[in-house]
Amino acid sequence: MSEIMKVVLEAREGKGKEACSKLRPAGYVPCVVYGPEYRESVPAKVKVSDISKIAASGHWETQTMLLTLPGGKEEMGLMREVQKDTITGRILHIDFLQLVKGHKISVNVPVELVGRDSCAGVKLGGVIDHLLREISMEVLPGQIPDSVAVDVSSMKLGAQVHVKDIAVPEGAAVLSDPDEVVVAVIIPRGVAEGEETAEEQKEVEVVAKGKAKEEEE
Amino acid sequence: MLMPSRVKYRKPFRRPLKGRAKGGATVAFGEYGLQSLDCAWITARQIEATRVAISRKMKKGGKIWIRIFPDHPFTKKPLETRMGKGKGAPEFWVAPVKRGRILFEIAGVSKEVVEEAFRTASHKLPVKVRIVAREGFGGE
Repeated sequence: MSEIMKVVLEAREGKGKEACSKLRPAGYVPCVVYGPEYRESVPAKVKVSDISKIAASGHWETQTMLLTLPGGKEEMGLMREVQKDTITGRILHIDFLQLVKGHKISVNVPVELVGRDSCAGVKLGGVIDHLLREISMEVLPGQIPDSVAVDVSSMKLGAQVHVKDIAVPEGAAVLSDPDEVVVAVIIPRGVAEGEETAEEQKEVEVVAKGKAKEEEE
Repeated sequence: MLMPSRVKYRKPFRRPLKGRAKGGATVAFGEYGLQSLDCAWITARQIEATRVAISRKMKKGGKIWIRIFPDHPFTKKPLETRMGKGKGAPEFWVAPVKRGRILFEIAGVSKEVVEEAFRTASHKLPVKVRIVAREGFGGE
């Protein structure tokens, strides 16, 4: 488990698109806090500088935080959703989930590959195919792992590691399909350069045939 | 070249390309992606040329994903034809791409190879592009 991060949330007056779009140029990100002990979500705002570093990392979903709510109340929580602008990459909105002691939650834990450079299959010309990058598991708030490590150094050509082969922390229940492949060492296909010249167009079947005939007439 | 095996209509309308991509705007399979910054119809030929350019730079390592598919027919009237007499015949297939859409993804090669492959790929495409990385992989 990683260190607990402290985040101060400030009160947000306006709700909706207009109020939120005024907040962002001022260096704030609109956010909400919700959880099992909240009947309604609490709207708030947080400084971009406080949150941008963790939001850019690949493991923000497993980072536990000590949230100081607008009223001064302190809650344990984690980031549940980070909405980003797909073109600028700017953070638009964050959801914080309240963590309650003894109340299990489901989290997506990132899978990290260890020993990529020394992989036996790669030395024989294979390529590591990382198929499942997050494993969904149900854990107690105090036991959320930062990431799950998978050692690929001994994997040979064609070898696969499934979800059921991964060691998870004690008390954690894996929700992902146990037969799902996490990582495989595959044989790469050669570069098919000759295909570039194959330009002849095949006939495409038209489902709405009556319509197509009418068009042609 | 990529093309659909069957379609519902031979000559659908050309819908306007404006706004941003609603889906397919994040790196979902690989480690790095090539993101479009413009809206355009990308032809099957352009997609194939880009794929070959990326494959050549990557040599035998890594894996490529093509995130767009040319499922839209593009019609053209024959040369020196008077206007009217109906819509032209389907000539080629295009993928309607809106800004923000991830076009290609790569995994399993170093960042230098990715940059070089995508730089070459950008010359084959009719849109401005940029390289984006998966969360936690660094990059732009």
